[in-house]
Amino acid sequence: MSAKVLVVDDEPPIVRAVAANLRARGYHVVTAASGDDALTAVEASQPDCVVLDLGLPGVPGLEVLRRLRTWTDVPVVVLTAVDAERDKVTALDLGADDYVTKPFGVAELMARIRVALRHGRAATADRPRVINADDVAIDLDAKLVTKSGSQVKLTPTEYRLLEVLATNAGRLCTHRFLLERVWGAGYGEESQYLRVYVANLRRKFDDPAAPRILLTEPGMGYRFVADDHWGSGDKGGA
Amino acid sequence: MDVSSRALAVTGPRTTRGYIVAAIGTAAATGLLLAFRGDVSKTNVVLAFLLVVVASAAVGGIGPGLLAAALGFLAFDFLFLPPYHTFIVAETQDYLSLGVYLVLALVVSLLVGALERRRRQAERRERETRTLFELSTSLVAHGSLDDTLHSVACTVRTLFGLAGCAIVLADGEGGTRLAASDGRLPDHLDERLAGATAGRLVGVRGPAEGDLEPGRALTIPMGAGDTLVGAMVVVAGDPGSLGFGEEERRVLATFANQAALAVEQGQRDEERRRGEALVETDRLRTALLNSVSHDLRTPLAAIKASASSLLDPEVEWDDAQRREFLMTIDAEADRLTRLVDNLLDMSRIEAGALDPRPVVTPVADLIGPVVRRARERTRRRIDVDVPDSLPAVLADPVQLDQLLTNLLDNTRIYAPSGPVAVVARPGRPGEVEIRVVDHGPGIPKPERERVFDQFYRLKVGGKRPEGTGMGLAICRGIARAHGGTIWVETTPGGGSTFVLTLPTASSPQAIPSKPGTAAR
Repeated sequence: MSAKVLVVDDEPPIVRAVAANLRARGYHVVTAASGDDALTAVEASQPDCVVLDLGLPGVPGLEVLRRLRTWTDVPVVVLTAVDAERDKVTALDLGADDYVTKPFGVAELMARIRVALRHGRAATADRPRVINADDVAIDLDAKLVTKSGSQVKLTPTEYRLLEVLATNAGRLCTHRFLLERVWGAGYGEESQYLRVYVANLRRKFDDPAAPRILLTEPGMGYRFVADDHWGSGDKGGA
Repeated sequence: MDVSSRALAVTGPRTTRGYIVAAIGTAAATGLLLAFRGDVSKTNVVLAFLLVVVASAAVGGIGPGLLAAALGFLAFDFLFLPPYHTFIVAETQDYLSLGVYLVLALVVSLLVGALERRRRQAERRERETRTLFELSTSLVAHGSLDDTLHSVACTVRTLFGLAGCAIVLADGEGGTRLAASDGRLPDHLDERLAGATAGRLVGVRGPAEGDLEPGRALTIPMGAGDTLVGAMVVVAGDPGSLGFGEEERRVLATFANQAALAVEQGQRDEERRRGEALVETDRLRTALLNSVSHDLRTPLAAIKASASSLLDPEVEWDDAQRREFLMTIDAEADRLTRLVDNLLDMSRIEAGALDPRPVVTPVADLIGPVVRRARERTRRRIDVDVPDSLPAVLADPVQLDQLLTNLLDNTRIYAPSGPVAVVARPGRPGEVEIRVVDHGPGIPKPERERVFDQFYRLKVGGKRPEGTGMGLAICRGIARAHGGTIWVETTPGGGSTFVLTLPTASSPQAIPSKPGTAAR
């Protein structure tokens, strides 16, 4: 069964180009040109992934996302022409899986959609209990991390942070998302904790100078690159 | 206002009246008593003259009282004490009568005069209070600070019968500025203000006391607490007008300090309003920036998406699909070009650098090519009505082409159905009117001026329509640079009619020497 993708944008040329690319790769495509249409379309056609433009006329994109998240966990990749950091972070905090800044290359968008779809499926299907990234393996059942077969010793907080990142592999995890899951609600602003702990994790199993597994998304958060999710670790033109 | 201005000027006439009462009263009493000289006693004569003293002092104060006392003394001695017609007093007891009269007259005139003086003081205080009240009503806010100060200057001038009144304020940068004035300004005020600090302004005050001579200026400081906010400069009226003396000085000095408090309050208010306006300008600028960046990115995004699709090695596109991508790239590149052109035009208009190159052109030649292109592009009916007799206009054909193209493009976007007409007619003398008439939904009245604002776009069915939001702003800029105008009205039966007026080639107003100001 091929996945169904809903493309929401008020610019017909962009909808046409994205839809053509998705179809050429074997996806089913549904389109919507406004926020209201998007909300109706998600209910009516139950897509596996939504590509959502934030600069929509009528109901704005962020509001569409907020309303979607009240009843569905469908993966959402936001498109934005507004290069305001705040909108992106807000979208991610509201539960978007990733973002692509306009103008974008289709290859990059397709890669993000692919990751979002896998993540959406992983959330519903049985999680893989061992996550591999480069020469690092994380056994979620045994709570054991190994690098090239030898054990990596982590503190409980380091392990908890790595676990959250790894189970959201490929997805951009915002500072707020990570802090609230590892340290708990009320720690949303303490992003310096994250810098310290991510640096520790990198020292233990990644390359602190040129990380390949724990990537920094400047000003937004971190992304864990697993083998089967984000092969090259290349983020394209974003 | 009349009552109190007259009330302020009664000091002189009252004293004069007192002297007149003293002179005439003494004369009348003397005449009457002479007629019955044999029958009246000396006591009655004394009482009659005392009556005149009381009356004079009551009307005119101490001076007239004393005059009446002196006159009465002389008349009593000369005419009523034997031997008559000499100042010689024969009987010893007459010395007593004279002495008693003199003492009584002096005491009475002093007492009555003092009473009269106190009454006048009370009266003056009442007048001052009334004047101050009338002055302070002029301080009630009149919108802007300068409006209030203007009303103050007018009131002061009228109330004191001055030739002129000016209010000078410290401008907050160490200098001074003329904030409001009414009537004649003192000579060389500008020179005295140039470079004068508020402190030095008080240094240029006029004579320190006494009545102000006609035409002389006086500076009254306006102080709020310890700070000097400015000064009032008054110019005395002509000799015929009301005097400007101590009393007026005192009242005006008090009032100047009241006005200073109002000025301080007003300045604070204006500062706050300026702050609010700045925030609003900032908000508009941000909205503008967002709008432009959205407009620039959108076609770029479509081009990038289409081009990267074509280049993607993962997909083998068929011919139809490839052609669609190429067409998108082509169309969006045109859209981007149009946007960039518009932005450049707009900045030229804003800089006043539109610089039309006018030639004498028949109106039909301006309209023809634009309509032909629009018909090809939209395949819709466009009626043209240009009478042969219409005078030629002096216009830059390239800019007029752009203006008319923008207008017809708008009908395509905002009035997609129904016929469109372009009609040219003689307008007011020396003008030609070109009307672009559509039968679309029309423009609501409150938006008819705003559509000519930069980046203002009407919403069509809640959606953001295509277009750059600059077309009509450019139209207006071009029209003005040609010495013409453009506005929008309702088409009879519904729709919008854009009316462009252009000066005819023979009109003296054709193409102003300097291009018109920007369309905002």
